[in-house]
Amino acid sequence: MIRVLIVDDSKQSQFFIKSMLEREEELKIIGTISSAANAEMYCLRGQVDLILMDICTADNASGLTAAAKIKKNYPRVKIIMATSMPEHSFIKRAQAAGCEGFWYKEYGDTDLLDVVSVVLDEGICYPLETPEIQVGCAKSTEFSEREYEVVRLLADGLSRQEIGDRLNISPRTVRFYIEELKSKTGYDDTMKMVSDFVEQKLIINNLN
Amino acid sequence: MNFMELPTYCITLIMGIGSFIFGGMFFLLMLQVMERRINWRHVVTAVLILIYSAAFIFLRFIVANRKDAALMLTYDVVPWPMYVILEAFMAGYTIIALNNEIRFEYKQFRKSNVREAIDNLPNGLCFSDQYGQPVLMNYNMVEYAQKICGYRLKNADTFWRDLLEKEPAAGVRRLKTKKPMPNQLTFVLPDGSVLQVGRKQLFIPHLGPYIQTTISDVTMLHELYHQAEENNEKLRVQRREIRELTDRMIRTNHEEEVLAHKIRIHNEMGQMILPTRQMLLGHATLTEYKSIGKQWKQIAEKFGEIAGQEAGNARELLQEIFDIAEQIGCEVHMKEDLPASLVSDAWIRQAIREGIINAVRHGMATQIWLSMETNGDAYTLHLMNDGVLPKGEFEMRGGLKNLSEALRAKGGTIQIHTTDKFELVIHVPKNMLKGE
Repeated sequence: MIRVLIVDDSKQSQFFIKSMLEREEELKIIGTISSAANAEMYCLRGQVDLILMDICTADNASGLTAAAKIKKNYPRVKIIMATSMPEHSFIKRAQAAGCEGFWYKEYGDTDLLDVVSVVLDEGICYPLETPEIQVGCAKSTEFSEREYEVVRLLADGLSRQEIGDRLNISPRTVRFYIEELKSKTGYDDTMKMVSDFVEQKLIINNLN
Repeated sequence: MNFMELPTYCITLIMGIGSFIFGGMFFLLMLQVMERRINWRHVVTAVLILIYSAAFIFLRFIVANRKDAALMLTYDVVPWPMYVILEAFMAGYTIIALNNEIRFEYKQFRKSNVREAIDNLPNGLCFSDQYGQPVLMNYNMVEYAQKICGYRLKNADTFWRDLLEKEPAAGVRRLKTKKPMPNQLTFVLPDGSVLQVGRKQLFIPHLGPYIQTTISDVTMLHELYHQAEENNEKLRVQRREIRELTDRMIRTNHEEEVLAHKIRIHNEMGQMILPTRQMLLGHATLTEYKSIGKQWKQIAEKFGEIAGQEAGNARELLQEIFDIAEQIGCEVHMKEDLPASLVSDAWIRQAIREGIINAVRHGMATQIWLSMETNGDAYTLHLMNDGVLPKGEFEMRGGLKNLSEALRAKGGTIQIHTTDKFELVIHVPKNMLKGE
C-alpha cells in the first residue's frame, strides 16, 4: 500500500485529485493539506510514501521549496509536483529539488494516474517540455533562458541597473535583452509585455 | 678713412670678430632649436658651422701680411666651389631655422591665448588664490555671478559665502535637490534658466593652492532630470502594478481551477440527464437504476465539496498545523485562543510549525503546550514540549536559525530554554503585526 499525501490549496482540487487517486486500490490517501509548508510535518514519523504537491499553495508557500526541504531530509519520500501554471522554470526547479514526477493539471494529455504509476514503477516521470503558450506574436518556447530571467526580474519590479547587478551583466545588455523580447513579442511597451508574461502564467514570482 | 688702408691686424681682427659673431649667431640659434628638437642634422650643422668659423679666422691670420687681398683672401685660398657651397648651405640653413622659429613661436600658448579660450567657454570660470582673489576669470562668470548675487564677483570666497548664507538676488531661488552634492549649489533664475555653481580646491605643484569656481547653465539638464524623474515615477507605478498582478495571478489561477472543476461537474451532469430521462420513462433495468443513483450521489458529493469553505484563512492554516501534529502523534494543548493579529502573521505560524517539527524530530515529543503572554507592547509565545532535552548547550540550526534571524530583522526574537523542559520562547513586538 502506497501512502499518499495531497497538498493543494483548493479544496475542490484536493477532492478531485483524491477521487482520481482513490480509483487505484494500491494508493491510500492519508491526508489532504492546503499549505506546502506543513507537508514536512507529515514526513516526521515516516507515514508518507508519495506526496502529490501543488506548486502554489496556501500561506503563499511554494511547493518547490517544501519539496526541496523534504527531499533533503527524507529522500525516501517520492514527490510529484502538480500545477496548472505553464511557468517556464517550474520543471527545472522540480528536477533540481529532486522530485520524481511532474504533472500539468490542465495542459497535456497525461493522466495523473499514469504519472503516479510511472513514478512508482520506473522512478521518474516528467513532461518532455513546458506547454506552448502564445505571448504577443511569439510562442513561449522561442525565448531563451536569459530572456526569461530578465522578464522574471522585470516582473519583480527591478530596474535595468538592478537586473544587471543580479545577473552580472551591464544595464546595456539588459536593455538588449528587453529589446529582443519586444522584437519577438511585438510589444512596444515593456510593462505591457511583462504583464502578458504574467497573465499567461509564464512568470510566477513571490512564492516563498 | 678707407677700410683698405687700415693695418692688416685691424682688418684681420674686424673680420675675425665678424666671423665669431656670424658663427656664434648660428651656433646660438642652433642651440635654441636643439634644446627643443635634438636630432642628428642639427648636430652635424653645428659642427660644420664651428669648423667653418674656425677655418675662416685661421685663414685670415695666415694671410695677415697681404693687406690688399684681405677682403678677397677667401677666394684666393679656398677653391670657389667649396666656398659657394658652404655659403649656400649656411644661408639655406639660416632661412629654414628662422622659419622654424617663427612657426614654433606662433604655436606657443600665451596669456592672451588662455584668456581668449576661457572667454569662449560656455561656462563661467574663475580661478582664484587661496584668499579668494581672482587670478583668472571669464566674462560668463562675471555675468552669471551678477545674475545670481546681483553684484560683480570680486572675491571668490566672499561670493561662495554669500551664496551659502545670504539670500540670492531678487527673483532668484535656490533649488534644493534630493541628494545635495558637496560644494555644489543650484539656482533658478526668474527667466526659468537653472545655474549650477561649483567650487573646487586645486593644488598645483610649484604654484600652491588655488580655488576653482564654476557656474554652468544646466537648464536643459534640469529639464531632462525632471522628465526622467516623471518617467521613473511612472515606471515605479507600473512595476508595482506588475507585482500586484503577479500576486493576483495565483488567486486567479486558483479561481480558474475551481471553475474547471465546476465545468467538469456540469459535464458529468449533462451526461447523466439522458440516462435519467430513460430511467424516469421506465426504460431502465434495476442495475441501471442503481448505477444512475450511485452516479447522482457522487455528483451530489462533488457539489457538496464545491460549496464547501475555501481553505486558506489564517486560523484554518494554524489549525492544519495542529491537526497534522496530532496525526503524527504529538498533541498540541493551547491554553487560550491566540489573537487574530498573531495568527494571521505568517512568521508566527512558521515559528509554531518549526517548534513542533523540532520537538518531534529531535526530542521525540508527544505533548506540546502553547501559551501566550501580553507584555505591554509585545506578545510572548511559549511552546513547551515533553521531548528529550538536548545534551549540552542547544544551538539553533537550519530552519529555526533562519527563522530566528528573520524575526530578529523584524524586531522579534526566538529564545530556547532547556532548564526543566524544552521551551521555545517567541517574543513579538505588536508593531510588527498587522492589525495591532
